[in-house]
Amino acid sequence: MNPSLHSPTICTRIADIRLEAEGLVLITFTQDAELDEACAIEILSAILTLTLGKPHCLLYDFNQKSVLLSNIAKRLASRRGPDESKLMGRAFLTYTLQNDLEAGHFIHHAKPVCETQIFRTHSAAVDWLKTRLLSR
Amino acid sequence: MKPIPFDLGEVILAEPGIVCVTLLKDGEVDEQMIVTLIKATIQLSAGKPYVILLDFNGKNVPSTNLAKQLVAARSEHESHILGRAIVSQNLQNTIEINYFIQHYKPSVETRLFKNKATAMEWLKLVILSQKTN
Repeated sequence: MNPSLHSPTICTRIADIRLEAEGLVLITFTQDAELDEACAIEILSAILTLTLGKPHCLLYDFNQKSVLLSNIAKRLASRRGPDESKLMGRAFLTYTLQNDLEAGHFIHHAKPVCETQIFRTHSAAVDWLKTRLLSR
Repeated sequence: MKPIPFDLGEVILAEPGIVCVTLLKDGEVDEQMIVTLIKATIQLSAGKPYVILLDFNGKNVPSTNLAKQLVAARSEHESHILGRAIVSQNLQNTIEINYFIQHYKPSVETRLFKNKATAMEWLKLVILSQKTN
């Protein structure tokens, strides 16, 4: 039995947000879309509901979807960090060149307060995020 | 439309295109609360351009650094906010708002007022000028 199937999950219009393990939130995009302000706030609200103010890491899985991150979504996300949001690390799991460009643009131009990296495999991303959680 | 309550007050659509946030209690605005407020303003504005009136209503309501950053990040182009008027009745709030305007440099034009009537007048002018453009 996969325990993650029973983990608390919040479904929004374009992504499912699941508390995969303690302190690890998985955001899986479920359709091609542009992540505008309303979607970004929905996702952020779900993250806050699942983490209850505790230290956490975020894993964004593009899930082979074509997702465009709007500037406002990037700005809102980039402000979150270890001090006030208790966000210890953020990983992007990318599959396509477009995903890479979106995630890369976020890292280089929005300059997130929280350490953020791009990965090709789920296990590598989770391993790195676990080290981020331990570093707190 | 019904007011949307949050921990420290309520958000209502006072008039078409004017979203009014009224504080009813003292307290601190943190990340969770600002996300609730943004969600409420998006819901009430229904995707149309709008202005925001934030009335401190005499309450002492400081906000965290992150809350200020999230508010300042919102833009006219992407958030559809045309203007933001903040009504402060005491020195503490006035200092806090001036600090927000000068240091966080909100993308949306933000002005401080001493009373609700003049704030409303300015917001209506902002809506009018947007319509004529």
